[in-house]
Amino acid sequence: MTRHEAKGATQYTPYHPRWYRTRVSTYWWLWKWYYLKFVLRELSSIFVAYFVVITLLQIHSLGRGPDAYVRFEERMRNPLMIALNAISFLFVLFHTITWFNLAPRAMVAHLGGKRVPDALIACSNYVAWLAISAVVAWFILR
Amino acid sequence: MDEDRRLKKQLLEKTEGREHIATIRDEMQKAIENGAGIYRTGTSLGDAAARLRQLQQRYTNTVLDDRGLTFNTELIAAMELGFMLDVAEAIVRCALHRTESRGAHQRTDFPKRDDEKFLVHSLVHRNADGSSRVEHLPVKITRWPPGERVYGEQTQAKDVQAGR
Amino acid sequence: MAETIQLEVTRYSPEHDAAPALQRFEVPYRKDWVVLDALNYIKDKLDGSLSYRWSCRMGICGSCGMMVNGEPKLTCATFLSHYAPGAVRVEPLRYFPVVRDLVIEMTDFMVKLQKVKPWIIRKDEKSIADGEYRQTPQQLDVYKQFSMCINCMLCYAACPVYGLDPLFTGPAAIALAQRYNMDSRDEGARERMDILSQHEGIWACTFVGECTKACPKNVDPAGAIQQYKLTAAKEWFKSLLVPWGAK
Repeated sequence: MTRHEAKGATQYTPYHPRWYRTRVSTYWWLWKWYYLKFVLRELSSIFVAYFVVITLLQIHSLGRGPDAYVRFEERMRNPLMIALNAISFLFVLFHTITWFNLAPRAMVAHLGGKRVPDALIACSNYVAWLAISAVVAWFILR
Repeated sequence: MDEDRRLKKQLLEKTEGREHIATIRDEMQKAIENGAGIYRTGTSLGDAAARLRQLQQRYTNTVLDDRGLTFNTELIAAMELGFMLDVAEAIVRCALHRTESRGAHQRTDFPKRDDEKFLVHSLVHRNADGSSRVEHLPVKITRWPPGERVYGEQTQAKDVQAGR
Repeated sequence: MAETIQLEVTRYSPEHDAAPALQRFEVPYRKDWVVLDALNYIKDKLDGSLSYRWSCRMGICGSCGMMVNGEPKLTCATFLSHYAPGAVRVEPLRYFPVVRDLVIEMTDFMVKLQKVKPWIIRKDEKSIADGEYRQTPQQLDVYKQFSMCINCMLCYAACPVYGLDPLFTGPAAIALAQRYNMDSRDEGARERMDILSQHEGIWACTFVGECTKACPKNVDPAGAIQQYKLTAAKEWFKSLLVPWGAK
């Protein structure tokens, strides 16, 4: 009886198991569209952090006076920065929408014995977001 | 250890043989379904018994596709088939012996329930020469005495009869 | 309508093969056949040496979990008509070691199930004479979804975190722990918290959500894990602010 052995594979011992462990590819996240969406969702956190940093720098330059703010704005006018900010904005939107849609799975509320429907929790998040955005916009555009 | 050796010789290492486990199992299922269903006759049971005897003979002539030592489900199936053939033989043998109808055993050639002869448990034994014999074990009635199985309007008549 | 359909099945015999390989079989195509029927046909009529697990053939025992065209499925609940006329690829459940053909080694899963203490824990047990622990239907509804798990391990095959880090406790085990945490009769939430809020417990989960999609019984293990993350975080904050909190 011939035995086919690959290099480095362990020899079979009668009555002993010899399991085969499949290697998980480094590119596992390219196999399925859903996995790719997941990895992009996770990567969007980098862009969220970037947005936070830019906002902090903006506020910091505001605090330093109108000259500092003008210099900041000029740096931001650079087409590369505009492109980067646009992409970041899209990722932050993606992050927000996926987060709000998933929130009801984590926050299960029971009102009077019955579970609050998922759509309601998601919607209330969106409404709060829009409300706060409206308030901030009113302040800025005044 | 002896059982281990017997199994290996009889099943794992055998190379001659022309029957497959699945074929015999299918035919056993058909034989019992046709011959020993809920409604059965002496003839149908006799046919089933002959068929099963044939199948038990063919079972000794089986060969396995799977000779592996790791998770060999065909070997398990082969062992179980041997036992299933024995159980099938027991079913048919007792059904032939019981010339009455009772519950799920409805002999269309003996439609009535016969409590004098057959209010017993049937036990099947294997004789030394390979044939089988049926013996009786008395039944101990505790809660439910035997009665007619009737449905619908007939239950009311039965209740009246029983004084309920 | 096609008369036959092709099945590509993983074969692996540790005694002869170095690695698993696919083998093709031609199987009759019946509209009402599931993949399990096709596998049984192969084993009965074509090649009796194919090994695989199955039992109830009706989607309740959880034995027949395998990868069908790359998705974890119960083969007794996956119709051939869904894939016809193309070939159907049947492989052993992903992320588990392969013992033989389509059979995987599941000891790791069993160990993890036991690790989360899946039984009612009480400070004081009632004696039999005192009667049962009573529970209203509303109290049952709180955890009922998580009790529907049939231990089929499809969620582990779907979870990329489990694939990359085998130490991860896993969706089914954590959902089972939640089933007991939310049971009104149970008083063991604190004990389970020490086990679950470790790095390889709930915190390894990144809410991919594939486990819930793969689950044939709508247990929603992803939801269970996220809910537990909230609980664990709240407990952690409480322990910070109120360090003398009752144990």
